[in-house]
Amino acid sequence: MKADYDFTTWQELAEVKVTNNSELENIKCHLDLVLLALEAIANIGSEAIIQGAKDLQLESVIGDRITLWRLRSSNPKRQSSGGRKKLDVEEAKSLVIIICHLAKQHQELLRRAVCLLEEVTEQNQPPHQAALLGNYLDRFINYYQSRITPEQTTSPEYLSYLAWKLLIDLLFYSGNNGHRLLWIAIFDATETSNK
Amino acid sequence: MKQINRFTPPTCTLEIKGNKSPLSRWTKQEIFQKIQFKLKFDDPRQPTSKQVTIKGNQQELWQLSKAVNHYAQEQLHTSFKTFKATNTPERSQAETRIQTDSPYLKSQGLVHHQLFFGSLTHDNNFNHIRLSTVQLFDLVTALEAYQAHIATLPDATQNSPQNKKIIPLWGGIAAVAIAGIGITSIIFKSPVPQNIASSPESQPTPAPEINELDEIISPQFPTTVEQPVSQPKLTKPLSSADRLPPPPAVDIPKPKPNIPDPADYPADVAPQSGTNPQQKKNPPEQPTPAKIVIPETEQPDLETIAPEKKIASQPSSEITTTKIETELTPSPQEQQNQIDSTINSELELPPELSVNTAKDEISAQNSDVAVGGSLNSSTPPSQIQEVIAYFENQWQPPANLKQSLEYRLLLNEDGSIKKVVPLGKASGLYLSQTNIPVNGESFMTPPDPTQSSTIRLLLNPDGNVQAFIE
Repeated sequence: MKADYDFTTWQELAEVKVTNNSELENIKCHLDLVLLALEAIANIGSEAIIQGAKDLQLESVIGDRITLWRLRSSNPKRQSSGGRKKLDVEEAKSLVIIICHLAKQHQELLRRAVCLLEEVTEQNQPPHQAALLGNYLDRFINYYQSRITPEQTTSPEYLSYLAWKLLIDLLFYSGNNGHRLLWIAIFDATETSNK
Repeated sequence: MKQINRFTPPTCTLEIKGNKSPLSRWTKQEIFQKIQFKLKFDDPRQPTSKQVTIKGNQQELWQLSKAVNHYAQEQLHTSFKTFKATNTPERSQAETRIQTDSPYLKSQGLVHHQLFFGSLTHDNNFNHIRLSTVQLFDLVTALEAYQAHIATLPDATQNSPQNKKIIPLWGGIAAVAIAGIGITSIIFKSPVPQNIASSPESQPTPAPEINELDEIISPQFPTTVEQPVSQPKLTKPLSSADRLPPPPAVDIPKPKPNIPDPADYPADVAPQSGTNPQQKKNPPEQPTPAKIVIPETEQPDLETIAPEKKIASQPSSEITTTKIETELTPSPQEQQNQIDSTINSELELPPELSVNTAKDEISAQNSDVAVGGSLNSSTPPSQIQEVIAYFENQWQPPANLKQSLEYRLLLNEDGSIKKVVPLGKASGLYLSQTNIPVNGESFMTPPDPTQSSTIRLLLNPDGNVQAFIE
């Protein structure tokens, strides 16, 4: 049963159990996707992520491009197979913190993008006609197709939907409580997927 | 002591009024009792007529927070669900309804949400409001900031079963307070776990080499173990990270100036401008609570008055009367100092010129030179107080106002206003919202003919009002 998460404490999070490795793999997969969306909207690369890790003094987890690449390769849906390692909980936590740190750095941009998305949706126009959103969508689809193993059923509509949804999510992750929201969201997801 | 905290993300204002508990001394958060809240959806993109205010008590705020947080979490969760389960867009129809009459939310497409008020008091024509995603984000932010700054104690006068659910919230804080006092150390002679309050700093650093854990604790920032001396950024929560400069401009038309009421725009301008001018003007900030301390004597007990009525009828400015009065009646020494500094600054005298010379010059030039009127011993204080009292009732600071507005009011002989001179650009922009009676209404006793008929009015964003005879 999905936990009824109260907003008051972190304690409930401690109740979340990881019983098998596949859950961690799913978490990795989710985090990799969120990071991908962040790279696409903020137009940043691994340097920014590594810098974020340095800002947060998480070099021990993500110190250079190779560790980052290995970490991201742990996404089971990644095309690359070599160098894959198993993601551990500490690494997942670090990624959550880095994602939210970077999202916060680009909060104004995320806010503007979501505002635009709201406006074009309101006007029944295709979102990608707005330059900011169009560039984001292009990059997102590009990154997705070049890095994630394409599934036969992956339709362009689905990718667009995923891109907009992740953009909205990133705005929430850019808030003060973002890392907590993200942490709960990925565990909600794994709980559901195990049912 | 009663206190008001305000949390003001760009599109809403959450105002918390309550009795501050003395226990706050020992906790990071402030502890409040008998909370009343007022939540105003004052999105500057919306016309004022569509801006909705809801209010309620502690219990209702708790229900609202729970509903909003639960819903937001649900929404975030669906991204992963869609990725996991299907490849077809899943329009979430997630609905969070905790119990009958509680507020709840419903999604409306990808970017809109409906907040149903339930039993909350509101001034909307419908029992719900449509929120955009950005508004929802701001609401989450405001509620989160409230949670981070304020802890609540249950109201002993309410015995509804839901009070029991609040216990974990204040119980943790009470435990910290007790630990802080040191009672536990006396009684038990053993260290009390300090991480009970879920403070990120106080949690132990997990062993980095563990590949798999049975139990996962929430992500925390690395602790002082790694950097024991320098207390780096890591030890702070993300929330305390410095505000970053606004991102570079994108290819979006430059927004219109920050005109207060977007309802004045022609209907087709705002949506086509590509982005929201208010948003660009006011980059999202972490809401900082605006605190106003109210002496107990100023405020009747909340229980004696219908709470909603009280909140509605009491503009924030009223609260600050005492503060203003004290500012208006400085000690003679302070008066002297202030006069000196005012003279120096306003006349821009060279530093070597003596203050006395400056004062002589002023008296020679009579009323042409501006001197802080409240400091002038010959000024009848009642007039200034009249003006202050008038604007305390009228002045409702716009939510996005960050700076003080200053006006020079030239008075007619009958006490009405001849002319208003805004001092500064912002003052000009916000003139229409200041409620300065420009149409010749009399708003103060006619000034003494021997007195200067110019008043300098200072309207502060926190609702504070100051006025000086010039």
